Amino acid sequence: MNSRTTRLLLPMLTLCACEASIRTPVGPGELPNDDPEAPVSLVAPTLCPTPTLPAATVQLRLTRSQYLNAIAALLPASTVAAASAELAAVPQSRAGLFSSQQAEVTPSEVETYHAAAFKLAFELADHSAQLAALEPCLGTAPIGTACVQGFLSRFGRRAFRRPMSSADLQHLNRAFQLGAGTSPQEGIGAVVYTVLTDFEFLHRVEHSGTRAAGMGEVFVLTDHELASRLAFALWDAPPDDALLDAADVGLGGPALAAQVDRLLSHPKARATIARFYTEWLGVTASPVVPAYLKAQDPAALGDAMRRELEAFVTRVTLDEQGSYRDLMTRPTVLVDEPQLAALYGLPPSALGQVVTLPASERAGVLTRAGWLATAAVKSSNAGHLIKRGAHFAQVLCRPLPPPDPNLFPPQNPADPSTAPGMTIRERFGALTAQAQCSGCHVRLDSWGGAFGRYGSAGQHLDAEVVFDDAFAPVQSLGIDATAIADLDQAREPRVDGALELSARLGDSLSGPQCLAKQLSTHFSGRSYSSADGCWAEQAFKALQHGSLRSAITALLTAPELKLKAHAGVQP
Amino acid sequence: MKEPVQLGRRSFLVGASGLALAVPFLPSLARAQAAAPSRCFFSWRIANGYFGDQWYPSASAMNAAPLVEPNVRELALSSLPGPISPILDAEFDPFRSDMLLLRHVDHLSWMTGHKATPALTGWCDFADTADWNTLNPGVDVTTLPPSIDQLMAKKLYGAVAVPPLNLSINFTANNGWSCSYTKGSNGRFVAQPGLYPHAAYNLLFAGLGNGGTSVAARRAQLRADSIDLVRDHFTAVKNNPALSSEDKKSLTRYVDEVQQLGQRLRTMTGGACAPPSAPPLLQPDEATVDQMARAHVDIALAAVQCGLTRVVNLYLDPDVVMPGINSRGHHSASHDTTAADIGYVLASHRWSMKHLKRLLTGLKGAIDPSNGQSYLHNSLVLLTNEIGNQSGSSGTSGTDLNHESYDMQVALFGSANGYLRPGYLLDYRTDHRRGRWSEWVGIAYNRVLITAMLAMGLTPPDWEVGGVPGYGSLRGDQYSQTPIGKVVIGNLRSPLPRVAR
Repeated sequence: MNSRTTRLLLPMLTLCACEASIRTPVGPGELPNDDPEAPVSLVAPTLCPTPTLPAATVQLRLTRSQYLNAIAALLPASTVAAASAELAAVPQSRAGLFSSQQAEVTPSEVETYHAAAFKLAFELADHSAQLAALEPCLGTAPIGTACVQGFLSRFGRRAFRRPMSSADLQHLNRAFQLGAGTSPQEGIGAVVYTVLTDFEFLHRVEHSGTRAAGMGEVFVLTDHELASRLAFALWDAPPDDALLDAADVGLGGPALAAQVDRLLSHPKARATIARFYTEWLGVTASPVVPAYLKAQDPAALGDAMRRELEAFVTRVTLDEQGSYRDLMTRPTVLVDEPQLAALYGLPPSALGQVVTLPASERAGVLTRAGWLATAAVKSSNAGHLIKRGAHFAQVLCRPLPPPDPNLFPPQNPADPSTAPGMTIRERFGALTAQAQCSGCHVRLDSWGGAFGRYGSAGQHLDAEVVFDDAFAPVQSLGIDATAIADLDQAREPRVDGALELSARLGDSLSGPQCLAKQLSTHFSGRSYSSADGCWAEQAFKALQHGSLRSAITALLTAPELKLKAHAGVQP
Repeated sequence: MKEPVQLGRRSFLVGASGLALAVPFLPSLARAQAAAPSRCFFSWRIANGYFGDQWYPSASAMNAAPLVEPNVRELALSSLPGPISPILDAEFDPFRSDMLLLRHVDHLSWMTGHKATPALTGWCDFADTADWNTLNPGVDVTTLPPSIDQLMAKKLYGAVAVPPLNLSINFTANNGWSCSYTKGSNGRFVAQPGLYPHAAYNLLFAGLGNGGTSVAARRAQLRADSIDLVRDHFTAVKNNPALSSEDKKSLTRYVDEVQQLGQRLRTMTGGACAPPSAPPLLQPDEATVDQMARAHVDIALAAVQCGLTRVVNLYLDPDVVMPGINSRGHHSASHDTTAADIGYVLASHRWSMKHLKRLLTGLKGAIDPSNGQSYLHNSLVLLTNEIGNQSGSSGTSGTDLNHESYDMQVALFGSANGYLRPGYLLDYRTDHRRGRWSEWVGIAYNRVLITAMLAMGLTPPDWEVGGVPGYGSLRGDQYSQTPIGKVVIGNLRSPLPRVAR
């Protein structure tokens, strides 16, 4: 079996293997047993059945984008530009669904950080204009002691994201002295190098909190540590001076809410919000447009798909105060690329404007080309049934078990030639009906099938077409997009197509619950556990009765955000 | 030459930072003094191929070399009467015991003609990714490692911390070529520019007078000392109760990695050295090329002895208009067959060897304070050519073979601190023949690169991709139709037969 076949079959085998999991007792969010008579709830009404202490806090390292944003916030643009090659080498690592979930640092990453810091620090030291841009008095000669001390205090505060203590200033002065014997400029370079390679700059270290009364190894963050959590959560960047100033005064209830509102209303929040959604929805790169579409510029079309998806989620969340249901059903679109406008059936005049898509074809985020686009299926315009089903399972936070290699079929059912005259859904259905597969596939094939009226490029389909090697149509097959929903309960009424499925999801409990869990995961950088339930519950309630933005605000103003718990804490 | 200047750590501390600052750093001074002996790597690249009968001992001497193991014939260089060869003339007699001369080493990258890439990568660069993918089916070229000098630099002190020094003279561009290649963001090889002497001097030795050290050395020292401050900062906060044991574990991992980087940086900053005279700003032409080549060798020697680098690539292109030869250049002569052209090729190689001998002499005459051995003993100097043996029928020169890449020109000097077993000619010819002139098939060139990396202390995980043994291409030379099934590849995690002790 070649690697391509393996890649195509992997999702299906993954689902075959989940037969075992449905035989086990079920809990909220898990698949139920198949007792044909029993009405089984798939979700609990709350994520917080009993109050618990917060989950153990994970020591976070700056993500690549956070690192670059922190550098940009600290140093003059000309300095950053001069180190573009070194900064480009800083890797993107990820240990989970979200980029905020960082893996342990590697030796190679350490070297990369140091190379970038070296270039930045001494590019600065060697150019008085850059030093002046960093701090005006550093560009003059001679550089006085007061100038240096003022710089150390301000630079340290912004880099370490907290006020500088006398010990901190002593530490920075030692760094300055490493270069000051040569020149004050060299001393500034030494300070910048030392700070940019310090663990407290590269990590989001929370070491200054005080023990929470009666809660064991749980600590209350300082206001500056809280400010860092907010800034990285919403801007993917360190706190700006305004937020640090607010933390100096104190981030009590109203002040905290005001800062969250300010950060959410700032343009910097848009990229962070877009990244959250695309990572959650599994759209981590621009879709690859299949060749049969004969796009003039496939790369531009793929990029436009991704941009449109990002624009939609940020618009609904931040501009329109939309709800979870709006996310799933709102048919508005902003397209900035002609090929994508044509794919959506929009006239050229719609470019650059928020318009409404045909109600019979598109609704919320799950009917956007950026989410629907899958790897091309051989000789067919169909989307990949199983990958779509797995994608949808992610929207419900229903993880898939690992695949069982023993269940690999001899032929790839995605290939139309394996069963001429059958649709992709029929081909998979014929194979996955066997007992060891059907437990999962009965739902996941169904979920994937609900999106059958969209091709592998996300285009709306009237028929599933099989074509030859020159993409000439050979066969046209009818599409059955009816599907089991099984969102909140087993054996819910069936839906017909993605529009109905999206509407059902918009009104469900399981959809908002999943989003609440994923928001908490994104903001905390740790895998979701039941110990996060009471925190996530606040977002869940907001999603049930309010807007997406209010859910974000609820999480970031919750008391849990101010706490840091060590591993092994017991209630 | 100026008087030697001590660039030791202690003098730096006194000169640049003051006595009060020296005290906290004494533990790290002890670490620096306990560092392992330095191994240095030099690559010496030649272009336009060579004629075997100018480079190797006579055919009769070669044929007398006994078969010491399958496909390996061995000849002690000390046993040869007279000069080793027309190129390796009597001037090289003092280096017979420092040299491994290899014969019948076949380049297996899918190359033809002039290619700078394969010398230290074992791969061949092409104009675009489509070509590359076509010629290397099934290989994800974006995952391939950079050239061996980059890997060595990373192993020795972090490639991104102190990259290899690329010194070149090339008549086609201000910044000459080097055979050092990093990987770009798209996964393609990126040629690292070579420096002319004036630029190299400014990079390494400008700013002398600040505590007797150069900018580069001073900043390397500063970085190492800064790393001590990061450690001290961590020590100050690690017992804060708000830090969990998991936090400490994570941060300790980072600080430990940083400390290791600091130790590697410290190996760059010790020792005594004599900075070379500042070379003038010159462009290569008939009048200046010899002066520039001498300056490059002086800079390379001083850079190593001053602890400014331990990996140097030299490419002194003989295709410049050389004094006493002609205006046609080495390349044109290498394609022609007249007696005069053969003589030009010989002169080009002898010119290159004259400067190599200066480098070897300098390395042999200087003692590395880390272990009391000569720098040549501690070093590996790898001589390569982009193209193979151009000798045609009957193994004689003067037949244009259109720059094929079998029977490559390879020699190793030094012992890499005792790893290598110099003093021999090793002929890896098999019993199979190839090509127009029915030349012998030999052993894979990739093994030379692997040998060099092993000699410098690298291990297979440092260069392998996904744990698959090997480095570079095993596709075969498309031009000479190397019979890939006949070339000896052998163990891709071991040095070449009989080169190591």
